Amino acid sequence: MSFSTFNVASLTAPVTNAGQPMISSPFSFFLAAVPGTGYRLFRLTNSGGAGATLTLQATISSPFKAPTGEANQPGTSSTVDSSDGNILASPYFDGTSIWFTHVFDLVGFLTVRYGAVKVSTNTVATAVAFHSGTSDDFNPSLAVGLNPSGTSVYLNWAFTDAPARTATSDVIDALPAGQPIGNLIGTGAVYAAGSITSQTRFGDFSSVAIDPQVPGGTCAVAAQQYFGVGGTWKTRLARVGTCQPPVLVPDMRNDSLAEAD
Amino acid sequence: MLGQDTNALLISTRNLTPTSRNFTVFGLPKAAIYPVPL
Repeated sequence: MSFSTFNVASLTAPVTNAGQPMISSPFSFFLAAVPGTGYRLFRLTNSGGAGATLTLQATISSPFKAPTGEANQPGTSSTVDSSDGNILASPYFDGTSIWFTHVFDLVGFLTVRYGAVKVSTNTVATAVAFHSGTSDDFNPSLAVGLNPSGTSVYLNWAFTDAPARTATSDVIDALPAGQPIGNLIGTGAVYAAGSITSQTRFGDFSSVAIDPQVPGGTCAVAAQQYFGVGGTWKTRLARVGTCQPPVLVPDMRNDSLAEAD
Repeated sequence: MLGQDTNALLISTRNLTPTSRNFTVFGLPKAAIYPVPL
């Protein structure tokens, strides 16, 4: 099998199509977050096979500041690496928009930015997510569920809050189906509370996937890293949302006792 | 980093050399990865 590779100017994330079954798209998409600029949207033809071409569809202006420091921890001067502002988890295409997330600097704090690039207009809408006004928030990932009411978004990340004496902890938040993109501030559910570490390197693993067995994209499974006692990496898994499949209850009204047996 | 759509496995790489770094993207058609069952 032969295929072509294409050089790009910065780390550029491959876009996964959402849905169960997965939706189709006219092209394969790639998206890069570029500090100081915004987003670069690429499209790849022919599934990358013979004769494929990669086209820069648009550079979308939405400047943000790259992280300038690492995540602070309580009671120690050791900090935790929190990435450089690139998209590090696969974005998702919902048929209209590409949903993405990455870290940026917001008034000196590491902050999660998430958003959606509309591929027909080359426009972007963004919002922020963080745990508190003193937290550092990093290592995000997301997934989207497709529902008749619209797209639902599950956003998963880690945070520290040194002034609140909180070591690296894991949090997940959601944008309900069809709700406009908006800031998620202090509304997420904390699903792992960890310890401090002397390792500066974070594990970087972060993911969200929609549970395909629950209809409507209402249930997601998240994985995120934190540090256990002694400062070793650990990974916590969480299943969130409306995860119970609907139960069909037979209509037994007016049945005889034998029929209801 | 890995991604996928209905027709392709999508990959991006960050490549480090002793003196520089570069970035690539590419796709592998699923039809070439998964042979048609006999």
